[in-house]
Amino acid sequence: MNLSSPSGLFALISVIFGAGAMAALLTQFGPFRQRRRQVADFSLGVTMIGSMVTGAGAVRALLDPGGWLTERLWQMSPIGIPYVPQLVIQLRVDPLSAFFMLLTAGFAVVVAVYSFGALRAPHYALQCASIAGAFSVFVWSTLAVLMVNDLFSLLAALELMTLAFAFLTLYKHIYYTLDGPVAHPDWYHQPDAAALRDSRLAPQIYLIVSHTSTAFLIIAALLLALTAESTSFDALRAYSSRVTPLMSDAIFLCALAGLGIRAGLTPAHFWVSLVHPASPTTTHAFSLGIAIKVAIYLMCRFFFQFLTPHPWWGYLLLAVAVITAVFNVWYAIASHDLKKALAYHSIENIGIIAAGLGVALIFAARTEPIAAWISGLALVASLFHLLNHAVFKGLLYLATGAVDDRTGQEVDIERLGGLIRLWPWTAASFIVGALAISGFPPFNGFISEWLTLQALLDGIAVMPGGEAAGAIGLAVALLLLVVSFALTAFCFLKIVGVAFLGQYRASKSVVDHWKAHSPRDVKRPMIVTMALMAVLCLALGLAPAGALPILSKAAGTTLGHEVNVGVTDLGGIALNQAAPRPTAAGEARTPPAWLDARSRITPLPWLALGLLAGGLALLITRLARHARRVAEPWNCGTPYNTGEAQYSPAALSFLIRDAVGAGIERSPSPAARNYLPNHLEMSSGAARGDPQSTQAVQEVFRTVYNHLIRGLLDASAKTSEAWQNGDLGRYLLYILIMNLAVLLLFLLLPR
Amino acid sequence: MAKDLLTCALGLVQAVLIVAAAPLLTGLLRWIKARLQGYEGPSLLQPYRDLRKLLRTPAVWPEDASIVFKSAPYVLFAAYGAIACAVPLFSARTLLAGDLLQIIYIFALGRFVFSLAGLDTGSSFGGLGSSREMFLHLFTEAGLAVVLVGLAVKWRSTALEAILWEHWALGLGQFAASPDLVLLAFAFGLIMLFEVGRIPIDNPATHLELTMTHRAIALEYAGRDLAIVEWAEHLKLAVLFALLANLFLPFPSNISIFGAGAGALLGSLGLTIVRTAALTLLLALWELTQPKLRLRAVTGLALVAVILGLIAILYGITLGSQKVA
Repeated sequence: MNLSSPSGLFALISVIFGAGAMAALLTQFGPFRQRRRQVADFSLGVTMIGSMVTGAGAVRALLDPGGWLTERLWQMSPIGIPYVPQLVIQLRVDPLSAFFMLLTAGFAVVVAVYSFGALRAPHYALQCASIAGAFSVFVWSTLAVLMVNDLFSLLAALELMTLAFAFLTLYKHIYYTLDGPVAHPDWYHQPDAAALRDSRLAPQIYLIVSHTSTAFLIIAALLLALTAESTSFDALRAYSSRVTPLMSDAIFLCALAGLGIRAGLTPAHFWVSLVHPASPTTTHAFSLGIAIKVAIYLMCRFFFQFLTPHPWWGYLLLAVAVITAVFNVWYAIASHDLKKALAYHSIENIGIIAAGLGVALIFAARTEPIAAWISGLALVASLFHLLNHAVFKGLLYLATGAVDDRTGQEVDIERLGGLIRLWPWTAASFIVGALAISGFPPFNGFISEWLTLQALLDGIAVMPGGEAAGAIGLAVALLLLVVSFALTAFCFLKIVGVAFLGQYRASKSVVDHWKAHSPRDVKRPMIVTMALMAVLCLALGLAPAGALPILSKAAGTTLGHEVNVGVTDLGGIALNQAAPRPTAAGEARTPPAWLDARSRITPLPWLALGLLAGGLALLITRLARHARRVAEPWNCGTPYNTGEAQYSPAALSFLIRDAVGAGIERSPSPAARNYLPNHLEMSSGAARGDPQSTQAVQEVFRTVYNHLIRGLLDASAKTSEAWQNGDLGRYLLYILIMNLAVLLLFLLLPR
Repeated sequence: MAKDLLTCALGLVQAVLIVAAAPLLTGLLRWIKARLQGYEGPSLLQPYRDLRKLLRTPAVWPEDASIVFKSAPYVLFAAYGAIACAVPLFSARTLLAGDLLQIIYIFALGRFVFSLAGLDTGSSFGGLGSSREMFLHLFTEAGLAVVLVGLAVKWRSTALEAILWEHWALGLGQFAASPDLVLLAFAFGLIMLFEVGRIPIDNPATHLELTMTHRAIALEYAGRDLAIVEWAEHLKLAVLFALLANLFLPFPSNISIFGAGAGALLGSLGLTIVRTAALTLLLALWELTQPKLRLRAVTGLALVAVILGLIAILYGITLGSQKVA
C-alpha cells in the first residue's frame, strides 16, 4: 500500500476507523456486553490513531505538490448511453481538502482524548461504546467527504455522515419505554418533558432535513454531470467556464439550497438548535465545530470551481449570511439552555463565514485586477473564521460538556450560577472561549472578524462609483455584522455571568449534591484538551501570521490564483492592498517614510504593552500593604439576600429585547398542532416553580414552517386518496408513464 | 516595524503623559463645570488627591467574588493603557501601530470584562449596571462602525496613522469643506458620549443607584481597586479626547503632528493643550445645557449618530470618489 497517495491513505484509515466501529458492534454479543467501557476506550483510541494518520497525510499533501494527484479507484461506463455520464470513483487531496482534513483530524483527536474522560460519566454508562463507535464512523465519513473527487461518492459519503450523526442523536432513546420516559438511577438531573420531546423529535427532523438537502444536491449534481458529461470533479473543473449562464444559475441555486440547509443558513437554521443539543455533549464539539462546516467546503468547490461565479450570487449569499448571523444571535440571546444557545451561535458563525464567502464570490465574478485581491482576502477571512470558530466553539462545547459532566446533565443556565467556585478550570475554559467568540483581542476570534470586516471595507472602497448600490449593500451587510458581533458579546456576557459567576442559582440541595458527588474539577483528559484549545485560541490570536500560509494555499486553490494577504514581523497581519490608496490632498506632501498606511494588526506588542500597563497598576496597588477586607455586596443598606435578588438572564436581556421590539408572550399556550416547538423560553417559569411566569419569544421561522407543514399535510390528506389508494394497477401505470416520459426526453433532446 | 529610537522615545513620552495627565483632564472638566455654574469648584488636582486617598485604602471585596471581579480593574487599565500607547497626542510617532477597528474592539473588551465583574458580585445593582452597559454597547458599536466605514471607505485603510496623515494633509480648510468628514466628526462626537458615559447617556456625578450605568458596577469596588477603576475612566476620556481632536480637528498645516524637530513638537504640544482645553469647555457647556435622557430614549440619540454616519458614507461612496479600481 502506497501511503503517500490518497487511495493508500484512504484505505488505511478506512481499516482503522472501521475497526473502531466494528468494536462497538461487539458490545451486542456475549462477553463484550459487560465491557462497554473498555470497548469504548478501544474505539476512541482507534479514532485517535486514524485521525493522526490522516492529519499526517494532510500535512504531507500541503507540503508536497505531489499530493495534488487525482486517483481513480474505480470507473464504469454504464451501457454507453449518451447523456448518461460515466460513473467514476475518485480520490484527490488538494490544499483545500488538505486544510479541511487537517482541521477535522486534529479536532477528532481532541474530541477523542476528551471523550476518554467524558464517556466515563454515569449517564453514558450504557451507551459509551455505541457513541464511540458512531463517532468513529462520523469522523471517517467526514474525511471521506473531504477526500472524494466525484459527485457519486460525495453523495454517498454525505449520506453516511447523515446516518452516523442521526445515530448519535438517538442516544437518549434507551430511556423511553412504551409507557413513556423512565427515570434512570444514574442520572441525578432527570430531563424534563420538553427536553425528552426535543430528543425524540431530533432524529426525525434531522433525517427529513438532510433528505431535503440531499434532494437539492442530487439535482445540482445531476445538472452538473449532464453538462460536463462526467461525475469527476476534474472534468467539472475543466468544464466550468463552458456551462451556460442559465444552467449555472440553476445549479447554483440548487447547490445553495442543499448546502445552505446542511449548514443551517436562515431560513433553514431551525433544525440545528433542535437536533444538535440532542446529540451527546462529547461529540457535540465535533458535529457542530467541524461536521457542519463540510457544507462550507462544498460551497468552495461548487461555487468557485465547478461554476464560474455570477455577480449576483455573491450578493445573494452575503444577504442570506448576514440575515443568518443577526437572527441566530438574537435567538441565542433568547435561549437559556447552554447547548441550544451554543447551537444558535454556531449558525451565527456559519453566517459570518458565509459572509466572507459571499464577498469572495462577488469579487471573483469581477474582472478588475483589485477584485482578485479582495476575493482572496475575503476567502482567507472566511476560512480563518472557520478555523477559529472550530477552535473557540470547540472549547466552548468541551467546557459545556464538562459542566454537563459535573452537574449530571444540567445545562440550563438559570439553574447553574456560581460554578467558577466549584470547578474553576471548567469556568476558566469557558470564559476564554467566550472572550474569543465575542471577538476580543488578544484571542483568535478578533483576527478573523477583523479580516472579514477589512474585506468588506475594501470591497466598499473599490466599488466603482457607478455601482453605488453594490457598495451600499456591502455597507449595510457590514453594519449588520457589527451589530451581530455586539450581540454575541452580550449573549456571552449573559451566559458567563449567569452560569459561572455570581451566586448559585440551583437550590441548596442540588448544590450540596454537586459538592458531594463532584467536589473536584473534571477528569484530566478533559482538562488537558480544554487547556489545549484555550492555548490555541490565544496562539492564533497572537500570531495569526502562522496560520496564513495554509489558509492562503487553500484559498488560492479555490480561486485558482495566488493569494497573499500580507504579514508583519512578530506574527501580525498587514494587508497588502494591491492598488494604491487614494491620497486626496496629500499629493502635495509626501508622507514620512516611517508611516505605514496599511491596515494592520500587531497583537503581540499590543498584548505586551497592555500587560505592562496592567502590571504597573497592580504594582502600584500592591505597594501599600493593606489587608483586604471581605464584605457583603452593597444592597442599599438592607440585609443582603443571597442569590434571590440576582439578575436573571431574562432581566439581563430585557433592555435589548425591548429595543429589538420582540413581542414577549407569557406562558404560551401549547398550540394544537405544532410540529416544531416555536416558542423560545427566555426564562422558564417551571424552573422557578411558577409556570405562569414563563416568558417566551416566538421563533418566527419555525412558526412559518409549522404553517407550511400543516398546509402540506392537509393538502396531502385530500389528494392521497386519489393517488395512493393501494391499487396495484395504478402504481404500474405510474411506472409506465415515468418510463415513457424518460424515453420521450431522450428522443426530444438534441444529440 | 523596526521603530527608530526617536519614535520609541516620543511614543513613550506620549503614553506616559496621557496616562499621567488623564486625571487632570477630568479635574479640568469638573472645575470648568463648577465655574460655569457659579461656584468655586474643586481644585484641578482633586482627582489626583482622590486617587491618592483611594490607593491608601484597603480594597473591599464582596463575599464570593471570584477572580473575574478581582482582576477586572487591572484588565480595564491594561486595555486602556494599551490604547493610550497607540493614540497620538502631539506627535504621530506612537509606540504601537494603531488600527481603529482594533481600538474599537479593545474598548469593547474593557466594557465586557467590567460588565462580567458586575455580574460576579451577585448583587442586583451589578446586574443592573451590566445589563445597561451591554445595552449601550450595542449602540456604541453600531455608531463606531458607521464612523469607521465612513473613514475606511474614503481612505482605504483603518490604520490610525494613515487617516491622521490624510486629514492633516487635507488641512483644516479643506477638511471643513468635506461634508462627509464633518458629518463623521459629529457622529464620532456623539458616540464618544456613549463610550465615556457622559450626559445625556449617563451622569457620571450621580449617586443614585437606580439611575447608574457604569457606576453601578463600580459600586462594589473600594479602595485601591476603585482607584484603578477611576484612573482607567479618566484615561478613557483622555484617549477619546485625543482621538477626536487629532482625527477630526486636523492640525493647521503649518504645525505638523508628523514633524520631528523641537519647534514642531513644542508647537504641536502647545496646540494639543489649547485644543484639549477648548474641547473640555465644549463638553462642560454641553453637559450643563443638556438634560440626561431616559435610558430608552438614548436609542434615538444613537440613531442620530448612525444616520449622520450613513449620510457621510453615502457621500463618500457617490460623491467623493477617488476610486482606485
